[in-house]
Amino acid sequence: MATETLRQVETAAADSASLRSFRRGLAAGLPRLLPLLILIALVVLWEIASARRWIDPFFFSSPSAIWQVLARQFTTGTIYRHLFATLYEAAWGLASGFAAGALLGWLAAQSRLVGTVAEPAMVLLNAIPRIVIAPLFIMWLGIGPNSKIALSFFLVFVVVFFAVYSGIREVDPTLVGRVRMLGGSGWTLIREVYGPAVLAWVFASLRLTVGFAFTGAVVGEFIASSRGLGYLLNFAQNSQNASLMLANVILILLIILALNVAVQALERRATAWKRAR
Amino acid sequence: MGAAALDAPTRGQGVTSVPRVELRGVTKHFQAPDGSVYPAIEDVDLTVPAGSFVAIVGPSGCGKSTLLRLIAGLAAPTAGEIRLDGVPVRGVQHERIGFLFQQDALLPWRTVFDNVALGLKIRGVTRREIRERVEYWLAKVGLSGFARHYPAQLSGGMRKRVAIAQTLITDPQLILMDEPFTALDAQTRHVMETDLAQLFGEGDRTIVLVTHDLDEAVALADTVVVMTRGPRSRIKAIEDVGLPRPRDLLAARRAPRAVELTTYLWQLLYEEVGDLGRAGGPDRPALDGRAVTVGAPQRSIHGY
Repeated sequence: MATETLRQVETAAADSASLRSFRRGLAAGLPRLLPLLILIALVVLWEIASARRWIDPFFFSSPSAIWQVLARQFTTGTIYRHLFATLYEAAWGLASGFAAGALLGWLAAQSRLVGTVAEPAMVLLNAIPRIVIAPLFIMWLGIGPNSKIALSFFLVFVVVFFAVYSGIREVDPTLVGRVRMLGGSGWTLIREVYGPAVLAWVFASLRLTVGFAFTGAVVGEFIASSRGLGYLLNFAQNSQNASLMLANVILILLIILALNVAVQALERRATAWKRAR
Repeated sequence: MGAAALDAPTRGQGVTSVPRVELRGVTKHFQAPDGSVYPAIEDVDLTVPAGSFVAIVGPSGCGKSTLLRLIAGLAAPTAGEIRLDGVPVRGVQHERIGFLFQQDALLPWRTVFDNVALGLKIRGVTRREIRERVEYWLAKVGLSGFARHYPAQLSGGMRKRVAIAQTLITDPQLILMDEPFTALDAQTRHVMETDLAQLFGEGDRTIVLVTHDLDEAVALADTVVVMTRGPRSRIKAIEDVGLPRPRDLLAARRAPRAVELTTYLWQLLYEEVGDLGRAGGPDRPALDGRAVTVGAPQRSIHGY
């Protein structure tokens, strides 16, 4: 009898302990889950509001309608030529903008002449809301992919220039002196000092530039093109198709999110020394 | 250690007739971006024989660090000549000189192993030999278990030891040190100084140490060079320490000769940093233009 009571007490205690730890876990996890929960609640509210005609589905669509558009686009395969067109332009814009920005940034940091000429010019370019140049590129390069690549390039180029230029200039001169005293020069200095120092800056700007490359391509397409996600946006606007437009917005959002995760993973690997403590 | 003790008294006394470092009328002016000229050091003559340990002391901004950078070839003198083993200095003298900077100056993105290995890697030493020598030096500075750590994971004293291993692994004949222990706490500093004294005793190395710590200068060096305050710094005095080697640094600091010399050096320095020094200009008591040789002190205080 006594042992049984004891066992009951024990199990009760164990139960309350596991309940406590469950509550603790919930309390710890809740703040992190909260944004997701709010998002789900908003989507549900949107769906209900649309179904009950609290809002006009013609203008505001609904999550289920958007999902149907996305599913149809992918099952029929109509989305792919648009998707690939935009990815193609953004990739070329990113690659060429990155290469050119890094090269000019490096030259500007190496040569005082290039630096004094390039820096104010780039500051000026940076001050222009670069999207307003888009019609100019379309006028110069036509409505094909080249004008979109150019806009994308332009957006990326300026950001990367400043990342590399300031990255090199902020390098600790003592580190350079140190490596030179160990016999290093030229390529060794780039590999051991400038490269790694600039890499941190470049990665910080890479996440920004991936988004910029996409913005350039989509905005270019929006203004004048025959394919691409930007073209679809324009088409949706002209045909007053809110579901198609929002489906596109969500698609672009998801692509940029995925790319950001990829860049971040790359960054974590390349700059592991920063987190070593 | 017994052999080193026997050798010690003869060290630095003309093993070879060519001095390791020779400065003749060395002047360095810095040009500011606005065009103004700052005369950092002017007309410095100094001779450092091979195998000697020289400490340079002086008030802040007296051009001590500039002097080291000129010897290393990291900067060129405005006038005068610097010779290393009789050969005029042109460009960075990485073959013969190891330079220990005031800051750690370790590459933050490289592991301890890669930082220490860098000098050998640049020299094209085989991977196998690099591994052996790095392991030897890490053991020597007491960091064997830290090869894979990054500098940020180490304490200030450990980073300094990595920097010392990095500097000495290429076996430089001449080691220049620019206030290497300034940033360390008192205990770590004492340990490092003891290690340095021991390292100096082991091989035929020549060391030029810049410091603002007179105790450190006297305890470690054979000769202490006092500089006047800038601008236009010159050599004010050169004093022979005259303590025997190998040294127990704690005992050396307390030796009557060390106390006496430190007090005297303080007086010299006080003339520079106090109001007396503020008069400045060419009238101040400096050894103007006179050729001075380390090891042949200008003024002798009674013996040790």
